[in-house]
Amino acid sequence: MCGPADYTALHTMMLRVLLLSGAGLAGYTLWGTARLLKNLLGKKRTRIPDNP
Amino acid sequence: MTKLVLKAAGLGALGGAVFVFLFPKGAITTLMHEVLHLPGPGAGIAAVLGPFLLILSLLFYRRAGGPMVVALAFSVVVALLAALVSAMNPKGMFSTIWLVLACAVCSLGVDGTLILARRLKPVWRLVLAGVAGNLVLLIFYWLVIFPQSAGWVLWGDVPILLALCVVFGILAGLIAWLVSRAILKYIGSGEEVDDVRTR
Repeated sequence: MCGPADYTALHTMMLRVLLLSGAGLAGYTLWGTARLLKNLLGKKRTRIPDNP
Repeated sequence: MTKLVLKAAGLGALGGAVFVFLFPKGAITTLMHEVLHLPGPGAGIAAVLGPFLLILSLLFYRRAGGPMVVALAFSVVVALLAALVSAMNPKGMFSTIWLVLACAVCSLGVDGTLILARRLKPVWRLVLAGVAGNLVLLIFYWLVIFPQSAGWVLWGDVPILLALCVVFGILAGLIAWLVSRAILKYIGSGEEVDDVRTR
C-alpha cells in the first residue's frame, strides 16, 4: 500500500536538505556581513554640540 | 496588485522547484513508513507536502487570495516538473491535475480561515489557517487521490494521522509567522511592521 523502500532516495534527500540549508546559512551570513560592513564604512554622523 | 501577484507566483514556482529537488522519488515514503514507522497513506502529505506548501502560502497571508496564487503556482510547477522528469512517487499523483486541485482546495481552506479569523492576532490567524489548510489537504487526498493510487486509509490509522496533521499545521503556521515577521522587520515599511505587531 505504501510503496517500496528506497534508502538511496532518502540519502539523496538528506544530502540535498543539508546542501540547501548550508547555502541558506552561507547566504544569510554574507548578507549580515555586508550589512555590517555597510554600516561600519558608511557615512559617519557628525555630532552637533548642544552649546557651541 | 500585479506586482504582488507576480511575487506570490514567483515564490510558489520557486518553492515548487525546490520541493521537487529536495524530495526525490520514494524519499518521503521511505522516511515516513520505513524509518519513522508511521501509518499510511497520508503521513507524507500531513508532515511534508502540507507544511511545505502552507509555510510558502502563509507568507502572503496579509492579502486575500495571496495564498491561492502561491499554492496554484507551486502545484503547477511541481506537476510540470514531476511529469517532465518523473521525479515524484506516483502514489501522490504529483504529475497530474489532481495535485493542482488539491492545492487549490487547501488554499481555499487557508483563505477562508484567514478571513473568518481576521480579528485575531496574526500568530493565531496563521496557526488556525495552517491547521485548517493541512486538514483540508489531507482529507482531500484521503477521499479523492489515494483511493485511485494507494487505497483507502484504514479507520484505525485515522486518529494518529489527524493528530500528526494538526501538529504539523500548527508548526507550519508558527514558522510562517516567524518568517513573515522577520521579513517585514527588515524589508517592510514601518506601517506594515506596526500592523503586524498591533493586530
